[in-house]
Amino acid sequence: MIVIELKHNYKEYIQDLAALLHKELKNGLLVLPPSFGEGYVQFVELPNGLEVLVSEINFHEDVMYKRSKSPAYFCNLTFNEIQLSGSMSFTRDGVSMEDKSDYRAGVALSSSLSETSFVVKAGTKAKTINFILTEEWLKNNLNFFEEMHTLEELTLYKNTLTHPEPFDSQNRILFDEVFHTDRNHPMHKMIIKNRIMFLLEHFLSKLFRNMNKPIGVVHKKMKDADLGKLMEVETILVKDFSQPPPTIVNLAARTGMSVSKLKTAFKKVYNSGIYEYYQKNRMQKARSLLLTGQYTVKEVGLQLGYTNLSNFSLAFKKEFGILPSHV
Amino acid sequence: MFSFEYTHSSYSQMIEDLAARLNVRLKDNWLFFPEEIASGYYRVLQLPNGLDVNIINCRMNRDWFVHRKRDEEEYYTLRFDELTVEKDISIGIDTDVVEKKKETVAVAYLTSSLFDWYYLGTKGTTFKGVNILIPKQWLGKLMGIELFDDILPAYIALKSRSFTMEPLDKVYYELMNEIMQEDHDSPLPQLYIHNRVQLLMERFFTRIHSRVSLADVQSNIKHDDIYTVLKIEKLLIENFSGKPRSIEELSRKATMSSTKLKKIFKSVFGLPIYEYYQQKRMQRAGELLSSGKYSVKQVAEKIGYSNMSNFTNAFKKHMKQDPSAFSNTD
Repeated sequence: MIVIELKHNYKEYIQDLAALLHKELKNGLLVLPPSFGEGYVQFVELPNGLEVLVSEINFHEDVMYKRSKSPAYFCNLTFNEIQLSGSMSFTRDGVSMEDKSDYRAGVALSSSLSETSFVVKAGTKAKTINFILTEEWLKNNLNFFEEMHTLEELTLYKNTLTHPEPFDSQNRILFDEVFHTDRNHPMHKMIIKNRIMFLLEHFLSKLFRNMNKPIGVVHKKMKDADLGKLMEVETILVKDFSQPPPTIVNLAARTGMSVSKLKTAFKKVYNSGIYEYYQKNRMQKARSLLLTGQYTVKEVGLQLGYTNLSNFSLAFKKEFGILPSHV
Repeated sequence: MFSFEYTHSSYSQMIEDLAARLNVRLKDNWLFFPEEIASGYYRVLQLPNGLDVNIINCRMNRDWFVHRKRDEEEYYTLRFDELTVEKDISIGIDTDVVEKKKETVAVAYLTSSLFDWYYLGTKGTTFKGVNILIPKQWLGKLMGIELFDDILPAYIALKSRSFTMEPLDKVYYELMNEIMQEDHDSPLPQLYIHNRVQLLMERFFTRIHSRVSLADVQSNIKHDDIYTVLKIEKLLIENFSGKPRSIEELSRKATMSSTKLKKIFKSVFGLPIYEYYQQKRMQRAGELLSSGKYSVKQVAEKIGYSNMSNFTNAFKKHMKQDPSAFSNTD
């Protein structure tokens, strides 16, 4: 088992990690050695000074991440999509917890107020975007920060470390763009940073909206295992638009839920029907491909599984009110 | 006429000067125009990444003239402007002038401080704009788009040709409107505006990158060479009444071989030197004719034609119309 100390300064953290793994750091990019896993960790400094780590890792070894209490308050915001191998165990201030679901695709929040550690088992595949939000930044940027003591106190994000808040479609689109944008694109760095900034904005605005809602409306009680299944369904749905989506019967079989239970549960968590969610993300994907200016309408239509272009145009118009050729 | 001239490379300095000129007080870098000049506001904000942004949203109650004079210090201004013109407006970039009458001009474009830039408009113009001031080093360093070091000067060189002015579409409008919404209760005002400004830039640069590459601007041309060629272009078209300067003379002035000059000139301006000269010459003829001040014969003489039928033929070839159709003598 490899043990890694988490820090609230990502620049230092990634340098230490590179030293520990005897690898070189190039432009903030650390390519991992096979003894640790396959993949990379990328340090990103946002234009507003915030530090972010983006990583995509296929773990070859059990890794324990530890963070001790810190005198300064800061928040750690994590967007991740993880295919778990075995269960993931956590300790927070001495209390142990376990996540036994197979899948996590959501947002988690934790802070320096607690001592935390978690173990990721070999075989786990994880894509993550981590933010450090310092108290100073939060105070300067959130008009509502004074109204709450810490971000964690919000019902919605209590315990998200073990049970992340599932992605909504906006999160999903932005998250995927961070990982799918072509590294050779001349605007690559800027696009990545912009998507990350929008993830943060979306998260904070949602937090603000939900803060004013009565407690209980937001928090949907659901069994952890079911939530894990739903996150898996969501990930499958948005994975590849060039293929027709799996049938609901098929999805239900994979999750071990009945068709009607799956439909209801999905709607509860994602606020839309399964195919509606698929289609919405598909159109968003179309829009972002068109916005890159690198593809024709026809190419985009084909990439998204439309053999009939006028069907594509109509579907697009239905979603955005304009034809794809006008993007 | 209300006129304002500046050379500032800082918008916060500029808004202070403007406030002093108008004798109004600034509040958090918001400037509300006095009614006799305009109805609406002008504001400046600095993003956390250090970029200056100005936002204007007003209706001009007088004829007006805003002029940024050229400056030795090099920086770019990325403009997203929507001008609803009741009578007319001239947009001047360096020696190029675009004139528009009774229409909405909604464009995104980039200007460089190395060239003069102005808007000269009539009373009743509605002006909405989001402008971003970008220091030269900024693009490469903070946005990580080093490629633009070579492409941007070439792009700038194309100035006001329709190629560089990109019409504002729905996506741009949405972002501009979101930036302009005066929502003081937004939970995260800075981040909100910052993100949209970033997106405006991302979209604009992505698009010019794909278009400039399409226009076959060689990205291996050196920055200095492009500037040399810009100077040569000025020399070439400063006067049409005599014979054009020879390639030998131009390459001496550029301290480049004639082969190199020809090659770089074509990459930057899209045409061989003399074809470009001829095109500009005919454009000049068109401008003179449409001013209504000169006869076809006078125009021909001014641009160096002693033989009228040669002029008429050349004009038709470039402008697809007879010179007399251009002359505006009503």
